[in-house]
Amino acid sequence: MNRSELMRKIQELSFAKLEAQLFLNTHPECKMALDFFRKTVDELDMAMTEYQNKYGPITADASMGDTWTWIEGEWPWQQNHTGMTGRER
Amino acid sequence: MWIYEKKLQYPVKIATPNARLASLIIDALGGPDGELGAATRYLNQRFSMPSGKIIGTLTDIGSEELGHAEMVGSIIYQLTRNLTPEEITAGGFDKYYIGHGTGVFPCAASGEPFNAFAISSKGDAISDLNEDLAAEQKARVTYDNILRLSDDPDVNDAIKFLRQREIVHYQRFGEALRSLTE
Repeated sequence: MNRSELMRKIQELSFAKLEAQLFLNTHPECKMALDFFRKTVDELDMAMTEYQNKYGPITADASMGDTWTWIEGEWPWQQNHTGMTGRER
Repeated sequence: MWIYEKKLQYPVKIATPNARLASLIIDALGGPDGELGAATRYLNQRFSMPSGKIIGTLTDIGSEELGHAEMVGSIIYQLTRNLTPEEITAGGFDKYYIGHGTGVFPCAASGEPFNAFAISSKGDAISDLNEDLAAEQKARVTYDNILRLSDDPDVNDAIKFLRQREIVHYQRFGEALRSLTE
């Protein structure tokens, strides 16, 4: 999985997690939603770790190595943030 | 407390700058039904709410709206790259440009700066949640109006995502309101 594919996977898993989270706020007794939320959190953790090890931090806490990598590279609104160009999806 | 994640909630990748669309879409950030008002409305309303169910709903939707403000800012940023003076003027972006350049300034498409009255925090759960239901519908209509006036597939892809979120938030706020009367 290349950088933009892995970022896309993280965005999909984050979205699925948030949807379950909003649903659980008003349906706190739904066991199916709770199981889905927990499974998605685990999958998201793995994808985030893989991305941050390979391509740099998504949160400042994940800045690794001897230098402060948080401020390196493109920011999300900048076109080449994950190497994708326009129209590519 | 909030922690920043260096990613957008949904990708914004606009190939073609367009001053006219930027001058319209700024409404979705700083207009009366824009994302800045939505985020600050929900996050400020939380304090006087009576239950964890409602506070959780406002916290999480308010936080998501901050991410939407970032998406709209990204759309504006990408639509205004490398514009020529002729393009700025022809696109009707000149009145904005004079005061703000291509910086992202929250205002309505008609030029009024963001107004804190959009926050509408009344200190009453039934009043505030009904406000929120209306706000989500009004934001949805703004996105519908943008989609009527835009034929850029890159812009419309992100706008359709934002539009869809208003519908989900409307659903969750309806459940939060009903929880008060159950």
